[in-house]
Amino acid sequence: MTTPRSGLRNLTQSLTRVPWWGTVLSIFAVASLALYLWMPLGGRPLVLQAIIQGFVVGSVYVLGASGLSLNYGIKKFANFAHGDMMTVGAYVAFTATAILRWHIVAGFLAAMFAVAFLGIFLEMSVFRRLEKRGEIAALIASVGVSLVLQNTIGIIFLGNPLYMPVQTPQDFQIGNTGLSFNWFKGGLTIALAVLLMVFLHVLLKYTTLGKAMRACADDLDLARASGINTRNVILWTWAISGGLAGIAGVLLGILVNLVPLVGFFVLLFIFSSVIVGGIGSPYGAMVGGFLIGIVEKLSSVFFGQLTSMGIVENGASYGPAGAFVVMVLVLLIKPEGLMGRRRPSEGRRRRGALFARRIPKEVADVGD
Amino acid sequence: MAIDNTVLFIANYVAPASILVIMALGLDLQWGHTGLFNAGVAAFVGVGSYTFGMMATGLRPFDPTYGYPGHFGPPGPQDLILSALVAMVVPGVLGVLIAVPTIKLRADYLAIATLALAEIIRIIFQNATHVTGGPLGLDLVPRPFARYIAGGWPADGFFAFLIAILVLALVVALEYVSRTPWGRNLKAVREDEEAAEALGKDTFRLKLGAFGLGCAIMGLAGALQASWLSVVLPESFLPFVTFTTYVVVILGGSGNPKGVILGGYLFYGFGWTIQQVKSQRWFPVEWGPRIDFLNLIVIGLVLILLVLFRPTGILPERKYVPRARAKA
Repeated sequence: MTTPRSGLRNLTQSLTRVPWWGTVLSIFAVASLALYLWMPLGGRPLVLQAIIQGFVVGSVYVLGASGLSLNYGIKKFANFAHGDMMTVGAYVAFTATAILRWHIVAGFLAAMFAVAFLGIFLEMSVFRRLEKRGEIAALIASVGVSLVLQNTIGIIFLGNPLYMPVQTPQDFQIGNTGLSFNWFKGGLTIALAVLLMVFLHVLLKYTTLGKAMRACADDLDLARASGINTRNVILWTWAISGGLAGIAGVLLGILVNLVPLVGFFVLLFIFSSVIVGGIGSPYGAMVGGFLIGIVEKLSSVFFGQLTSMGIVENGASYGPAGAFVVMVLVLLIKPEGLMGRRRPSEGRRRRGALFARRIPKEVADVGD
Repeated sequence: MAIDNTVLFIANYVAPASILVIMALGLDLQWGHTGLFNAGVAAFVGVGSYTFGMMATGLRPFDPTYGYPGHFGPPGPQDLILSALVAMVVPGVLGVLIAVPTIKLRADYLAIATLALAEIIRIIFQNATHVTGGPLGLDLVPRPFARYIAGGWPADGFFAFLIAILVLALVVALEYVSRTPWGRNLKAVREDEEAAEALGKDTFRLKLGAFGLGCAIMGLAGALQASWLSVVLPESFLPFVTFTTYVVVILGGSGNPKGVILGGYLFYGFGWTIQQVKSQRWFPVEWGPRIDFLNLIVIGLVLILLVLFRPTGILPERKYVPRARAKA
C-alpha cells in the first residue's frame, strides 16, 4: 500500500543512495551553472574557459597528487619534497631537450627515470631511517630535502626563468565565443594524465605489484607477515610516484616556465587534491586533482567578477585562495576526503606528536 | 672614528637575529612545549607586522602622484607601545580563531591546514592593494623614540639594544611559564594527550591558549621587524620564513627556550657570515647568487641531519623530575 507519506520516504531514501560521485558532480554542476548565470553576458565564456583550463591544470595536479597519494599510503607521511621532485623532472627534461638536444619524448622519459631514481635514493638514504620515528620526523626531513632539491637546481641553473624548447602551435579559437584552447599544451597534458591514470589503475588492480602495494598501504606488518617483500614494494612505490612526479614536472614546465620554485608553487595544490580526494586513495587523488584545478580557475573567475563589480581588488589572483579554502573545509568537515577511508585516528592528534621521541625498542623491533 | 661602523655592524646582526629568535620562541611555545605543528608562522608574523605598521603610520590615502595605493589604519599615527600591543593582540586573536576548528587535527593535517591558511593570508596581503598597500606594502614605519635619537647608528644601536632586552625578558618569562602548572600541562598535552585528559586537564583550552600566546609572540616579532626595516612587504612572509623558524627551533632544542635563543643566534650568524664573506669579495662577484643557493642547501642538509641524528637539538630539553621523585 502506498500512502503519500511512504512515497516521500521512498524518494528521500533513493536520494540518499546517490553515490558519492553523483553528489560531487551535482554540487559542481550547480555551482558552475550558478556562476555562469550570475556572470554578465560578456564574461560568461570565462566560466567555460575556466573549466577547460581547470582540466588542464588539474591534470598536472592529478599526476602529482596520485604519486603523492601512493607515497602517503605506504609511508604514512606527507612528503613536502614532492613538488620539488617535480621541479627536478622539469629541469632534467630541460637539460635533455635544450642542452643535449634530444627529442621531447626522450625528455619525458629522462625526467621519469631521473625522478624515479631520485625517489629510490631518498628512501634509502633518508626516509628509511625515519620509519620508526613517526610522521612529523619524516615531514620535517622532507622539508629539508625540499630545500636541498630546489636550491641544488638553483645553483646549477640559477634563478632565471627558462623555457622548454617545444614548438607549440597557436591557441585554437573555438568559434566566436572568445574561448581559446591550445591543442598541444592542453590536450597533451590532459591526454597524458588520463593515460597514466589508466595505467595506474591497471597496475593497482591487476598486477601482483599493484596488489602488494595496496596491501602494504593497508597494513604494512600484515603484508610483511603474509610474505610480501615490503622493502621492494616501498622502493617500487617511490619509483612509480617519482616517475609520475617527473612527468608532471615536465608538463608543468611546458605549461608555464621553469624556475627552481615551480614545483613548490604547486605543492599546496597537490596537497589540496590529495586531501579533497581522500588521503590514501590514488583514485581520490585523481578526482581531487581535477576538482582542485577547476575550483582554482572558477574561483579566479568569481573573484575577478567581484573586482569588476568593485567589491574586491585584484580578484583574479584569489584563485588559489578559493582552492585552499575548499581544502581546509574538507579537512575540517570530512577529513577522509571524498574517497578515503575513515580511520579511527583520522583527523585527531596522536600522542607524542613531538618527533624526537622514538618508539621503544621492544615495540619497534617486533616487525623485523 | 670606528664607533659608528662598529655599532652598525653589531646592530645589523643583533636586531634581525633577535627578531628571528622571538619568532622561534613563539613557535617553540606552540610546537616545542605543546606539540602543535603550526606551519603558518609567516602569516602571524605578517599580521603583526602589518598591524603595527598600520597603527604606527595611520591611514594613508591613495596618492596618485607617487602611484602609492594607500593603506588602512587609524586616523593618525598611534603611540608605538599601543601599536605593539595591538600588534600582539590581533595575531593572537586570529590564532585562537584559526585554532578553534583546526587544533583537533592530526599533526600533518594541521601543518597543511595552517600552511594553506598562511598562504591565503599572504595572497590577501599581496592583492588587497588599497588596504595593505599591495606589492608596495607599508613604508615609513617609525622607530621608537625617533624624536629623541638621531637616525643612523644611534637609532640602530639603541633599537638593537631594545630588542635584545626584549628577548631576554621573553626568555625569562617563558622559562618561568614552563615551570608553572600551565606550562607543565602543555608539556603533558604534548607527551600524551589522552593521559592528560584522563587526569582532568582541559586539553582543548590549553592548546588554544598556547596557540594564541605563541601567535601573539610572533606578532611581536613582526612588529619589531616592521619598525626595524621601516617597511612591510608581502614577500617577507613566504613559507620560507616558517621553515627557517622551524630550523631554528629544532637546531637549538625544541621545548627549551634557552636552546632556541642559541639556535637563533647561531643560525642567523651562519647566514650573516655568508653575507659578510660575499661582501668582502673573497669570492668572485658572479658567484653571488650561487652562494645564496649554497647557503640554503646547507640549511636543508643541516635540517635533514638534525632530524636523523640529533632531533632534540643542541640544548635538549631537560627532563623534568618532580621534587618528590628526586628525593627518593
